[in-house]
Amino acid sequence: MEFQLLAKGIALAGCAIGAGCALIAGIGPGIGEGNAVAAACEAIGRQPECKGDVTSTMLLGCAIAETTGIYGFVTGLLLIFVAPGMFMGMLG
Amino acid sequence: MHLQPDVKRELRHIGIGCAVGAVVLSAGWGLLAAAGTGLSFGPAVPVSAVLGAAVAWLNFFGLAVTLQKAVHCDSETGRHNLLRMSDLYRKLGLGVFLVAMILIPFFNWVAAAIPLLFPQLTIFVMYAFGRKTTSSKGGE
Repeated sequence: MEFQLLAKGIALAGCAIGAGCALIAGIGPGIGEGNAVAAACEAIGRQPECKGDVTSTMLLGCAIAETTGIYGFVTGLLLIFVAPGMFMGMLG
Repeated sequence: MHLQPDVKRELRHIGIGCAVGAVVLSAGWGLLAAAGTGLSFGPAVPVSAVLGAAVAWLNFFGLAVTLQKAVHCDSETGRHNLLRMSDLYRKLGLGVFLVAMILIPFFNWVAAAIPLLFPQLTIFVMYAFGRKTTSSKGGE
């Protein structure tokens, strides 16, 4: 009984720590998007006639950069809302 | 706010990609369920897939509007604030959507979470098949 309680506690703590670690992935895309926009502004300032191309490429690049953030976010939410229920079910 | 023609074009491409992805996901899920893989297929799967694709497109739309505004923003601080607030609200929206999909029993959260990456998948496909090419000449 005590062992089961301890196992549940460890599983819940693991889920919480894992979710926190997964959400760290959200930092990278923010920094990357900021750098991309800064570089795009510089490029448009240098060549205003390429504004459309630069905006389009920047938009697609930022969307790709967001992928890791979305992965981390989804993983974190699953660790908070889905994984604890599964572990509790497995541990009885 | 008036969207640039290039941004509108990308929004249209991503919208088509999300719609096609939702149909392919639902059809693939149905085929796997019919093949006896243990997956259950019901109205929840296509509804969740379509909702997920719609949210993914809205997220991309929010990103597009924010980036267009940020490019026209004069101050660097304003640009940073704009990007930070947009990121916060878009992530909050995705979080609320996913939590609702997990907590409401009617929906299938797996079928709702997969389409969130359809815009990125569409961009990969566009580049892989040479659909996306740049017309800029480059140089100073």
